[in-house]
Amino acid sequence: MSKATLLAKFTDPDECLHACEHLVKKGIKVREVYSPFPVHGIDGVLSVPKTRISTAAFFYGATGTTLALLMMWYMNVQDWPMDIGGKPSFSLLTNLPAFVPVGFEITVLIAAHGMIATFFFATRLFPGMPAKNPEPRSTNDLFVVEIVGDDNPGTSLNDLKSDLMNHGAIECSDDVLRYEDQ
Amino acid sequence: MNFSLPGKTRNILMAAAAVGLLSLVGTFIMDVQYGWANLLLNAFWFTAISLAASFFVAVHYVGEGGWHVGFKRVPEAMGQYLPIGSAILLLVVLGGYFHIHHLWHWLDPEVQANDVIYNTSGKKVWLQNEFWLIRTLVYLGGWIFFANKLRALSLKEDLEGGMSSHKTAYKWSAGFLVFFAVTSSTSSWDWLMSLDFHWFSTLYGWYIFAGFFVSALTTMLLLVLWLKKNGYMPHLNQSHIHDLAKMMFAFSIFWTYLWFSQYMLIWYSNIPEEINYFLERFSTGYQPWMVLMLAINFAFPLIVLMHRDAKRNYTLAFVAGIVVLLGHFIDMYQIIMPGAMAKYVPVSILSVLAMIGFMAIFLLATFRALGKAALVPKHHPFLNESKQHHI
Repeated sequence: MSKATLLAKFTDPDECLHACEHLVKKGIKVREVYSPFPVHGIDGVLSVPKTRISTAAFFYGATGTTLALLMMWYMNVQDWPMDIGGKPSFSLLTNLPAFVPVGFEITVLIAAHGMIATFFFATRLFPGMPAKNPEPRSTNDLFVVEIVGDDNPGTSLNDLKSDLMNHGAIECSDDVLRYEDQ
Repeated sequence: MNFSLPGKTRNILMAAAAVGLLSLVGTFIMDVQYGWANLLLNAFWFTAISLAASFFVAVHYVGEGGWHVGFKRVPEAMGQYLPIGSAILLLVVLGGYFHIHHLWHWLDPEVQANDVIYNTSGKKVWLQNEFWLIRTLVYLGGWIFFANKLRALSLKEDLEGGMSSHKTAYKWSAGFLVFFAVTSSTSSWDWLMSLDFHWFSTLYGWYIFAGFFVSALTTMLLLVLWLKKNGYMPHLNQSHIHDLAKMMFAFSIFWTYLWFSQYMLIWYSNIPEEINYFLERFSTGYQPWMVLMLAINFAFPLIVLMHRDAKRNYTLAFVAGIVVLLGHFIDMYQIIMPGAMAKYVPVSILSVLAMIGFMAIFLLATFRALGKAALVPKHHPFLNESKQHHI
């Protein structure tokens, strides 16, 4: 149970960002930053690997377009040939303008839902999951930097405290109170 | 740091302008009507680009945007072409008014006397020769007034500092936006839609606006990249370029959305008086140009500029910008030529050269205005915000 953890709390996203920059420059490894909203640039500072969700989104979108065209082809060309706007060509390609709006909407629908599902899965966010943030106020107005002793052998977390306080932290605590322990 | 145009670039632009004007004369020799149509194309397009640049400045005043301040003098300088462009456009309009040419064939008294659609559809109320000329004067005069007002206030701010110029500019910008909202639409009916005056589309004004706004954003991006390459504007970082390229990308898609919305409704309902406009363009020699234009203006930005890294790559953004401008030139061509020429005239080398010549004149005017003031506004309240811009 000797998981020495330091939680540095900030009230300002910029100060949190600059403190992280300072820590990284000193060679300290930051385990995680909890924030009420995305802090611009923090992923670059912490060298978080680039997200691949945009690639996933492309494939979800392509799936959506294909499904939509397939559906409309079956409904309006195959199963019940539709005379669209007085143009009885009964072909998907020549009547494509009529299929564009629905095709677009289903592309967006599948891409958006696919991305959300992927995000939830990748971050293990499911209904009923225990919260992972060590400080409940990080969902409200606090920006919390988590430094774990095991990541930084040879560094005294106590020495870091005053350093972080000088960089705008309002409080440094080392008692981890995770929701699951409450 | 002030901007001064390198002598070599000035000579190249002067040469391009000369070649362009000769080419324009060439189009007049080919066919007088074609010459006027080309003059209208260039007069409208570059005036509209200049207008849209002033619109860009006004939008940022009203929206209290700060990121653009670092390169704000570029759209401001682009707006200074407005009087020149307006004079050329007025020349074309007066040519029509005095029956020197009939690009707008409804101006012809014979057409007005005999044309059934003109006399029965209610268009007669709007399309009156004198009323049309007065409207033209109001649009051009109003735009020049607002563009110069915003420019003057920005220069005053350089000298005096403080917030008063900014607050005044905010108010004038709000007025400009209201004036622009109405006139950008009605002017496109008057100068472009009435080339095919039997036809009408309620979406037309937006479609034209989207086209020239993309052109203006692209020109702005190209100018900023060029200035950066020549050592000016070191304070602009990748985020500024990314945002400008993002706007070019976004408004390309916006343009497609409007083009398609207009097209689909007309295609769907298939009413003879409406569908005629697209039959003229898709069932004649214009068809390959239409397909090429849609590929360049929609598919190209979608594929090339979607990725974040593409928008941050200066070379790629520059090349993409030139391609998008060419696409919108073809768009302007197919807007004007089928109606003005009433037959198929392919995009000719002379026409392209004339456009390049007008672009050179536009650039000379822009660079001249750019050199007249500090390249970065000295006391703009959001100057620091722009320097810190980070996305």
